Amino acid sequence: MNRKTLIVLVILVLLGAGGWYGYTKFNEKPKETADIKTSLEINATDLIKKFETNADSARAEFPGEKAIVVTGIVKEIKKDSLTGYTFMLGDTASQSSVQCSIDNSQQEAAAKISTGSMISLKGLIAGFQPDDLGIGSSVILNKCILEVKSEK
Amino acid sequence: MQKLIVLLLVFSSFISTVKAQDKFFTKTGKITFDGKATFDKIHAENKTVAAVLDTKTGALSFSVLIKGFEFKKALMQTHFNEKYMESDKFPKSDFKGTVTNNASIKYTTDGVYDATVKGKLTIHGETKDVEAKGKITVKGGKINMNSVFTINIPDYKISAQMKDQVTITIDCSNLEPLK
Repeated sequence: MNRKTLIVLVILVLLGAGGWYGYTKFNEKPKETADIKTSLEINATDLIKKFETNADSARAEFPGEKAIVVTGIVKEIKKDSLTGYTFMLGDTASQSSVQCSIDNSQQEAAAKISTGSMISLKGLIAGFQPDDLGIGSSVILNKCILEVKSEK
Repeated sequence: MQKLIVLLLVFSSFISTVKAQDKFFTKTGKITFDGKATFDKIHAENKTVAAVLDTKTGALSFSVLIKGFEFKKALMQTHFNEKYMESDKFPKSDFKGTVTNNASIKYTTDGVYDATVKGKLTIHGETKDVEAKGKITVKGGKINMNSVFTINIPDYKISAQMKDQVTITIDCSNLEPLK
């Protein structure tokens, strides 16, 4: 094999490798919540209080799309054919809540949870919805998975 | 006299119940958007839409967190938030408007009603007047709202490498009375 051929081959291999990397990166799915490590753990009422007190500071402490484990009482369960299960955690005396949209993979497990249960959920922070509409504020978590079995 | 007092109490209790039933809300509405980029279709869903409908006045409000939109591809989601929507700077999109034919919708009778909504839509910090048609369904004391409409993304100063027109689908089901 002469030098020119070798160079062409190396270039082709590099282009191929680059193309393959670009293709896989382009089509890469978002990470599953279970695969995301996090050290952020907080209880639901404290999380709501942080955002209601100072949303900017809370956003810096809990940046968007970071995983977090939240523990709290399930005060409401929403089940919708379009959106699946959503758990509202927090103080039953308040309209505000940590709103946890349950991951598709855990819909069956979610069906076993009842209101009044104390549970822990790991999810991705989508952000904070202040009480602009008169329905309470919400700290919103997506793709939530159950961390521990619920107990009343 | 006692009968009159009892009657007044029952009547005022009824009035306050009816008044409390005027507003309906959800925190788990769904919005999807569909568009076309150079090499790919774009589809994203948000299942945490907050909406309030005042059935007496027809006033309708929506609020949606931009980071709540979920994509099947991680890179698309990153570009959407960081490059196109700048969601750290503009974390929410809002709509405030009214159901213009509200008087023709019988909220106390189960049925499917055509609805026209007009109002102001704010995306990426830009506010535009919009009008859309949809359906309001009343069933068993709850309300569903559905609509499909298009928006022109350059109107909202969004520079994305995709076709200008994006289709927005709104599905808000089981709106319940606001207590």
